[in-house]
Amino acid sequence: MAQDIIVETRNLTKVYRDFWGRRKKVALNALDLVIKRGEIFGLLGPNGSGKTTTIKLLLGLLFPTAGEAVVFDRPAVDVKKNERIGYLPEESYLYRFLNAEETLDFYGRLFDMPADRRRHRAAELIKLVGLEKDKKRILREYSKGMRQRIGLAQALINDPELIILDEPTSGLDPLGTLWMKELITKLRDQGKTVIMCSHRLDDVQDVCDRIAILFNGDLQTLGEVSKLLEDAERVEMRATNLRLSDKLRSDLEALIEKYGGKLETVGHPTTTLEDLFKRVVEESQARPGRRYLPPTGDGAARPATPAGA
Amino acid sequence: MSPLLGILELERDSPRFSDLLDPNKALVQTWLTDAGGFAAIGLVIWILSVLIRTPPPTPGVERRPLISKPMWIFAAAALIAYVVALVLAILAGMNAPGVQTTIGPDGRPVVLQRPETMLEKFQGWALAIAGLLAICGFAEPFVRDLFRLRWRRIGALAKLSFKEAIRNRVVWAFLAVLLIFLFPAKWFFPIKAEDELRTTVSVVYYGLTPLLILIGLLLAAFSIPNDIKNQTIYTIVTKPVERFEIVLGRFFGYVGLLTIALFVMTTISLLVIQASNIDPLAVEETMKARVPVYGHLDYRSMRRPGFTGVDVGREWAYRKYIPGGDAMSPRALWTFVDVPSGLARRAEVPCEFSFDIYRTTKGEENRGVYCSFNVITWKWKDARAPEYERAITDAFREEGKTYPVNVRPPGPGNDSPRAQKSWEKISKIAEDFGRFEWRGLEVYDFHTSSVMLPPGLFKNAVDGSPGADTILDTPEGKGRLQIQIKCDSPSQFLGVARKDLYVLEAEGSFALNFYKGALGLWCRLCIVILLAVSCSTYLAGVISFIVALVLFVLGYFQSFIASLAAGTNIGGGPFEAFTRLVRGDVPTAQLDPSPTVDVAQTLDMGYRWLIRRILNVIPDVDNFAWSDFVAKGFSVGAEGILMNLLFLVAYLFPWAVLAYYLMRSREVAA
Repeated sequence: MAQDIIVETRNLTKVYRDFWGRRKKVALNALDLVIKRGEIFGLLGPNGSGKTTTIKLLLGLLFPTAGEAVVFDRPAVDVKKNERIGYLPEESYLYRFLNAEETLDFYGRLFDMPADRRRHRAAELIKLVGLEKDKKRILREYSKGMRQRIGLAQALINDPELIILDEPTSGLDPLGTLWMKELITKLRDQGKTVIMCSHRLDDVQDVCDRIAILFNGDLQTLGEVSKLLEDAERVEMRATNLRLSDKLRSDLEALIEKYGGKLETVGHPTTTLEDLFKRVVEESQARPGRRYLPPTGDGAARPATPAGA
Repeated sequence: MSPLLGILELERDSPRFSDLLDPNKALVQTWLTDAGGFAAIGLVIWILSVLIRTPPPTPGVERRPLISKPMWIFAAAALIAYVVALVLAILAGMNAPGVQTTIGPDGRPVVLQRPETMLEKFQGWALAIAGLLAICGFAEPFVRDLFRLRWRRIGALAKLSFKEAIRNRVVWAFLAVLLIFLFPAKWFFPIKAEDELRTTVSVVYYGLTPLLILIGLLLAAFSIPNDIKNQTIYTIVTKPVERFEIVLGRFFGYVGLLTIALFVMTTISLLVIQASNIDPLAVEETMKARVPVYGHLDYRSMRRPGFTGVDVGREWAYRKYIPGGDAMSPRALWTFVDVPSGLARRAEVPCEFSFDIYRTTKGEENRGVYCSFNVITWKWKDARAPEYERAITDAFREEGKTYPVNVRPPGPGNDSPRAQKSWEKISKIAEDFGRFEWRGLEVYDFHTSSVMLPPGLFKNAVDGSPGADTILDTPEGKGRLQIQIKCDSPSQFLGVARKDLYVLEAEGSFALNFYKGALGLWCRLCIVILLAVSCSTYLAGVISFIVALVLFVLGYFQSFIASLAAGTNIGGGPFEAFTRLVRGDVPTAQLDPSPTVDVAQTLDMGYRWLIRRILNVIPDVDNFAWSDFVAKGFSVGAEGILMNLLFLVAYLFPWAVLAYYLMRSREVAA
């Protein structure tokens, strides 16, 4: 296996059988996949497509019916490979009677980490995920977003080379989602490999380098995001220092028709809701007391005022 | 112990190290055969399931083989050994001598036990060797993977289990209920004075046992299934954790928790016992840790050769009775093969006893019956009796006494220099002749009494070795000392059993013994917890709980189940019992031979084979009923404890291997 190939599946198949050995469902059918070091790989598909089955096979939670899954040159059922893996499950299946510090200490011990290193790493991760104020509270008292954060912390406790994230932004608010996506990108920049399983297509589009789309246990599409999303039939242009007028519109139309094309639309671009949200929150944090004011009678917007004014 | 009848059978001897090598007991051979049989079945199932279910290897990918080379080799060798055992069994069957019968005391024919033929002996050993090979093959991956385990991970999982149980309020509720049992029993119901401590100790242990066992079962049976149901196990299995570490972590966590609970409860109850006002009679009888030396019991009657004691018709035939009367009355004889030499260095040696009295007449109010003791060593010769009597008379002439003379050692109420001198004189005579007597001792029904024996008697007994011509011969070897008891009260019967009389070698600390009794309960906790955790690696929580509980409870009925397996129970097996039912025959009647009866009895042989296999799986919990010793004031011996701990490991080891395989092959996300 080449040095830069972290995960490889060959004819990986999982068939669920009943007690009598009869086939009940083909959850995954002959999946051939290669995931390289340092990339963010997205696994997409509707419910029941085989994404979670693939993840579970890679982690050794399930055993393949046929084929093989190899992670770090070891069969997926080999426990030793887990030393280099971090896993964030979908629902953050953690022990709710432990607090954050105890949770990270427990998982650190499972990696055979000595006490001082565990303590240092736990403190580092609690700070990273923003749970310093709540580190002594038991997980039963945490919100979903907080549990997701501590779940991520336990996935990173061993500074893994491969991180597998199942619905990482589930339960997070927009800022939390942004934070998570930035973290994922940072991990990739540190040379780590990330496998991400998500229903939130916009999140996958934002962070993933390559994706695989599964349906009914079969691999339907595999490739780089940018290439897959490219629409070769259309050309998009952006310009600044320009005001849109009828003359500009008709000149553009004539130019495009000259090259055999057809103008579909021209107008001012919109920002994303995410960017707007981020901007509003940042401005609010910078100017506490800022409030929205309804527009004036003529429809003109009024500047926001500080509270109490 | 049969909890239905509430009877304590004290005839069960503590196991000794020498039992391991005793060819009659064949402990090691039996374990190898039985455990090996299960290992062989496990090997076959594992090999078949790997061959059928494992996908073919992918070229270029090195996978750790599920069946290693040593496993194949051991499996093949075990198969050969089983074939050899089968051939020997067939040959032994063909060459077996015919069945010999005799007429029993009830007039019915009884099959005589014959000694094993050489072929049968070889067959037994072939089975044991096959079992050993099967165990080696089945346990090979288990042993190999033991070196991959890390105590830090196991400790983390144990600590998790501990914390989970502590933070679960159910445990505290149980422990709160337990506190009630720690208080003296007399606070709750009236008790006889001498039984006070015995009852209090019994109530403490019998209260602790079911509650702690129940807590252990609940925690252990539901831990792994809940982990799988809640999917918290995902975050563990996806770490570099060996599956068996999860089993061990849960086991040690719960054992650790219940050990602390047991220790605290035992300490509190001991402190309450010591602080409370125990009746002096009870203190004298049972606040002790006696180290007894038991002898071999036999009977002798000058009028009736072959006398084996009288059955007075009591429902429980644990004791036989000797009638009282004149000088020719029968005697009960306790012959001691092992006499500790340290007894010769003591100032006095107590011989303690507790007999049953069966009265045919009312006798005197508030009076016991009288019995006499005649204690002889292997050097005593009856021909020296006149010389012995003269020596006694000469020694005590100054005090105005003639033979027979009852002499006790100096003590409270008898501490004059003369008493010391008398004791020394009787001790010297005992050393010279090898004989000591005590006449007319009053004994009460089930009341522990004692006679002090002089050290000279033991000096005589331990010096030299009994020869071939000694009269003190027992099935266990040549005796050194014999205590003969005769009932002096006419028309009364004295009921005796082997362990009703003993020589007191030493007395240990009651407090330490109290903790040893708790150690027996701790062993039972280890059994239920590992049973439950092992079952829970594959079964649901409720099923694991039920299976472990049923196995544990069946352990109390081992002797009854063993009688079913041996076919010595009344009424025969299920097929024979059905035949009796249909024909209207009583269970105790001998069946007339017929084809139907033959078929039924043959089918019952298969049933008995199955029961024997079930018996192998049931834990012998009575082995760990050490609290009964504590309640009665007897020390739990160190040798017995170590041997029983060895039995515990021998019982738990196959379950641990089973848990290893089940957990290893379990798809936790399926």
